[in-house]
Amino acid sequence: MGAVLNQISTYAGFADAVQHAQLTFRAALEALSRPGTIQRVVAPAEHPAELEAAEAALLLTLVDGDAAPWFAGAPPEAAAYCRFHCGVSPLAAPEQARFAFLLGASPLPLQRFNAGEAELPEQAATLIVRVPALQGGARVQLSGPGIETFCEVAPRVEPAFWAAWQHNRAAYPLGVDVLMVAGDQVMGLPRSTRAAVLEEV
Amino acid sequence: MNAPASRDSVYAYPRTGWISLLNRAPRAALMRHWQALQLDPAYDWIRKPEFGLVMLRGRVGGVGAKFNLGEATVTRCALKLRNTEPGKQEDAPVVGLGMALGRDAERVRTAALLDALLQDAARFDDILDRVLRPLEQAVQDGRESRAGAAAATKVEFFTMVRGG
Repeated sequence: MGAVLNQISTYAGFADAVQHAQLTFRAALEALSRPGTIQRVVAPAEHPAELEAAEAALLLTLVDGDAAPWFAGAPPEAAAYCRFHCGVSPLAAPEQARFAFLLGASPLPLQRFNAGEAELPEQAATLIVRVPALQGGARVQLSGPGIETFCEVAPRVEPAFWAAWQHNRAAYPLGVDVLMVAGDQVMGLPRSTRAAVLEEV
Repeated sequence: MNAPASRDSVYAYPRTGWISLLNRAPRAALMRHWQALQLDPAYDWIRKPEFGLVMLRGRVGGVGAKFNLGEATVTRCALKLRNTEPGKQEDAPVVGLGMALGRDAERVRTAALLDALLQDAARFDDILDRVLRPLEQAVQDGRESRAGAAAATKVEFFTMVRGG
């Protein structure tokens, strides 16, 4: 027990645990229902510097003992925050994670994550991809369910991401879903969304 | 009256020991001794008091396989003391924990504050004398009176030897 006592995170979670988690869940739901739109989460009262506000909010909202996360680079304070508030230890390897926090790491090949099985496509991983900003990058045209015709987005993500996204899209109905985050903003990219790069930056 | 605690006196009483005592002691005694200290430290919540359930497990007669007895409500909280000493370095904050059976936010808040204050070596001896020792006594008294009440209802069975 002594060891456990020393693993306690000193960062508080949501100021209003129920309301703010519900608002953040709603933001994530909107983001995945209307790909390309920018949603805002409710930032927790405090969070480790290793996480951005949106990452911390999504962690508190989505992760629990049945949906273990994985963090790129194994950040210690984020792990303690996760254990304390979500009641689950982060996984050591990404393959089985339901939620993968890339924390700005150079994008891993999307194939490394669980893309689900034919019988259980809903068990695929959701990737939380940190980008410097959700605007100002290369223009990309999105289409697919949740988008009436087309919409344009320009998150500042590496060009290689969009090439990997084509492969992910091709595996539909399997494949990972992505939530791109910057600060307290979230943009959803479900596996059903097609992306066409309009211009290279 | 109290010299600053030596490191020995702090470590002779493990933190797990005082957390256990603070959260099992009778509520009235805990609140009385806490109020007598007249401390009002500034703190922030890490986890506000929340109610939940734990599964109680036991073994019949203290031996044999564990079985699930049933669920009990618990309240838990975690807080951190605010650093109010001017000029003091920003260290990792002192964290206090409380978790007790029942639904009593004030009780776990008090236990968590005492847990945090007990980690301060300068306060430890004072709180040991004025809170922990009396609570140990209160827990002991409660145990003895329960044992006495149980002993009074004990029935002894004898088998008379016949025809001997």
